[in-house]
Amino acid sequence: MLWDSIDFLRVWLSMLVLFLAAPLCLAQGPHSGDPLLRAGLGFVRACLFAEVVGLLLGYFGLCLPGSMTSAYLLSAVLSMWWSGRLYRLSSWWRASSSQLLRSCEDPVTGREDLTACAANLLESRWRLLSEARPAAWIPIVTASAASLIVFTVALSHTRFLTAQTYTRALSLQKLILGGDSPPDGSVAFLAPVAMLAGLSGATVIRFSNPILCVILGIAAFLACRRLTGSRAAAWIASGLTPLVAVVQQGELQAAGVSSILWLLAIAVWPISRRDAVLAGAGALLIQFIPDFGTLAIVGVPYGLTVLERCSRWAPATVRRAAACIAGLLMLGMMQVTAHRLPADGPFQYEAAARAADRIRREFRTNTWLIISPGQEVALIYGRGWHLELSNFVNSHTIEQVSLPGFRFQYPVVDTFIFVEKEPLVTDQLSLGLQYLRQPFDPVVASYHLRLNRASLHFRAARLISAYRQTHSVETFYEDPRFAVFRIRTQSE
Amino acid sequence: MHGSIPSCLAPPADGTPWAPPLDAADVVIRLEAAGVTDAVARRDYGAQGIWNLAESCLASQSSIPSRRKKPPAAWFLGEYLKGVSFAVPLLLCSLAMIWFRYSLWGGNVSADMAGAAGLGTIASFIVAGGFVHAMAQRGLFFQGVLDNATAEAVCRRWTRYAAACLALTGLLFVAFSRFYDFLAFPFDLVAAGFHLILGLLWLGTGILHMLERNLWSAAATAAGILIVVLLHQSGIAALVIAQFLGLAAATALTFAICHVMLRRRRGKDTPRQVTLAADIYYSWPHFLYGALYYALVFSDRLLSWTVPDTGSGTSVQFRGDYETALDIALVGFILQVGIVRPCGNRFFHHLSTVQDSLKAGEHIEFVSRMKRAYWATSFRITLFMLTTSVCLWILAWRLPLGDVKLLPLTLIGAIVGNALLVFALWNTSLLFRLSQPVAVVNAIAIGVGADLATGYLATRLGSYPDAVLGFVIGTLLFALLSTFSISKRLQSLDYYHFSAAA
Repeated sequence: MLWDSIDFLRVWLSMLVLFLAAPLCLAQGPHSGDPLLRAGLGFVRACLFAEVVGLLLGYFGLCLPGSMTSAYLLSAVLSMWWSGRLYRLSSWWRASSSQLLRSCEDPVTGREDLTACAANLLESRWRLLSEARPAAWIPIVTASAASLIVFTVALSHTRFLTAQTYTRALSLQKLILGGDSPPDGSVAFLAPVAMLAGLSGATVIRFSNPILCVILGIAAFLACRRLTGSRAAAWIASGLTPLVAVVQQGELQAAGVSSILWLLAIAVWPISRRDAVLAGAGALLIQFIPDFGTLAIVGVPYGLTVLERCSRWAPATVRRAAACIAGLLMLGMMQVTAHRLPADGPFQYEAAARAADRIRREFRTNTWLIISPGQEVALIYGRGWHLELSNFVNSHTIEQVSLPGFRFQYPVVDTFIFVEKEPLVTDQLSLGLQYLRQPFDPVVASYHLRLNRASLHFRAARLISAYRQTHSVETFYEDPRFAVFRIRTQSE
Repeated sequence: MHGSIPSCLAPPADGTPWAPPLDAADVVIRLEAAGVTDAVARRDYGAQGIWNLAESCLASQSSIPSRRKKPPAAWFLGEYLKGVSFAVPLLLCSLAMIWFRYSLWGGNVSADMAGAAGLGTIASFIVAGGFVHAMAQRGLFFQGVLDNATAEAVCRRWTRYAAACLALTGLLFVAFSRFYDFLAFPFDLVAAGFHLILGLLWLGTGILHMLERNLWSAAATAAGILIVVLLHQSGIAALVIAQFLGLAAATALTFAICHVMLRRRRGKDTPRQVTLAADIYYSWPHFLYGALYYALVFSDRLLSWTVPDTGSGTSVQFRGDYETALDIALVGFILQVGIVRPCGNRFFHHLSTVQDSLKAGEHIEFVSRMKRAYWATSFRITLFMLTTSVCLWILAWRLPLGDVKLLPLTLIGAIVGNALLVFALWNTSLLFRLSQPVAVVNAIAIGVGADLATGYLATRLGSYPDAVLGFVIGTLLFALLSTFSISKRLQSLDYYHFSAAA
């Protein structure tokens, strides 16, 4: 739990730097007085930049920390040069360095200058905070409450809830390792976050969900406020939109992420059409063909606009009270939804995902191998090796492994075998071949057909049992339904 | 009234070099420098003014033969040997490597350990390099004005700051490594340890190089190697521990020698008060140059070692075959770089000869002759480098390298890059003596940028031996830009020479 919280903090700080602090520092062009709208504009530009750079570099297999850092530095320098701030920066540097030299000459004056500088900085920050209207905090508080719920879900769920999320996590990890697979638009903008946070693709996907929920809530607030001019309606939108985005699958998908940009496009249209168009372009890069989910999410502010127009006859106090009640109801619904999520599945036991995460953290890179169904690949890609359980059971026999002289020929120090003592049964696993999705994949079929899955785990358990009679096997993790066995295949 | 020639115009009695005045203006300058004004000329020498006095003295002065400091017969060779003397400790390490299969660093260690030690070594060069150059610039300046006490104080101050910076960067590296899982424990600590101890050793050897006592560095290195051999061969300590102890001993010995020598030179003088601001103001280009120089030399290695390898257990992989090619080319570099010192000295000796032979108004002729001298020396240097490079290439294929594979393209790249680097250093030595360090910093900064960009793209799109392409491009740009800078200064050499002397 502690390491998970630290990881969340790393993701949160990285997103704060890349999508808020950096664009606000480099911002130019039309400025709105509203800090939320300014932050939204910054997010649009930063997100589009990260997306385009991630996709371009990923296309050449160059989406690596060095090239990404160079791209950011180059764009910062170009942006400052374009706005004429590069010259001001060099003047500032000259003035500061001479100030520094003077401070070196006379430490007393230097200390006084430093104190005055710090006092000025604090005063300006305090002024900024004190000038912000209390109303500006309402959507942040609402969206944060919603995201807290999603965060607790993320903290208690190391596994993912949808097949798309596993694919996205694997795509992001391949992208930041300079893989040559085609880049996935729904994760490319997270590549710099993963690099700055120094975390794997799976961890970034897992913990960026709650943060993106907050951003989605704020984007919905801005869009709804722009459409209705009513803060109460906007407040409801800020809670309802993340709820719509996650209620079906429990996780934010590409539709949710692209909706952020669509909603921001609606919000910034009156002040900067260029940024609105850019936001639309970014949304299309993330999800080229908007699906029903996107339409549903983006439709929330429009639906609320219609409701707001219809309820104009009611007094303002009544409308505000109704908005408060609606907001609380939505949070309650989210809480209920979160609690109704199953403890395991739909694709793996939670214990399996936690075991894979623990192995990834505790053991040295590429000195270990996990033998399990395919879901663990997304969690460990780039840190260790993986072998399909079906390959393992098909390439060994009980007679073979029970011989005292037998050794597994894996060039790693440790081999971990994941065995479901009680095979996982969920709605996602099919009863027959006719229920499997097209195109047919024999590897997927091994795990997604209930009988096949049970057979594989049973055979794996028998192999380990036979091997254990003549060799040393350590139980790395065990509960009534699932176990992980550790075999030392080589000395370090 | 003296009624004779002022004593300030007479050749010095101690036999130091002296030249007769070029014209009346030169005599006036010499007189004014000695405090002879119009009033003094009228009162003490019975002349109408200083110009009359100068004209009356000129005829007798022109007939006195000039006294020059003639270079000894073996001057060039001696200077060349001094130029390569910095490499004696390196030579000792190489000998130890051949003999014992290990040295003060390196040896038959695991790939992870080799990567960590290599990373620490490179980092120590880059971080300590800036301090060593800045310290040497300030120290040599005070030595030049015979203020050895202040030179010592400046060295001590820069050493203190460098040690603090080395410790801080080492800690930052460990923190970075832990955060980004760059090097596994305990390799991150090994890298930081090598970074700190080697950095301190470079500072000590830098001071000894400044004092022109490179043989003492060699002695300290030999003592360090001896300790490593004793501790490791007797089984008292593992190789890395023995290397740490040997390095610590060599560093301590180097600083002890520095302390004694600086104290001896200082005598009973007290240092003058030199503020840190003055130190920073005068030496920041030298500091940057020192750091950038080592960045240029080592960035290709860093790029080669950090090529992503999903099958590897660590982010840094020491590339033995790449290193072998670079080490062979390094021998050529040491042999070639020795020529920079005598050529630079000869160039400025020639400059003073030309200057003495021409009148003050003949600056066009002066510039033209010095330009010819520059290009002639450059041609000779190029010829020397070509010869040594070809010899090295032929010899490299006859070396008994055992199982180690020699990468031909890397070897060619490293030999060419080193030759270009030597040419750039020749230009750099002239620019530094003309007090134009910023021009050098600009040239080398662009070179480092090109090295990093080209090497990065080459290694990430190709494979790790392609990193040498970055080195070649970087050194080529450094050589071209420094040649451009010096050519520009040569157009007005008279101005730059006199302003540097001032």
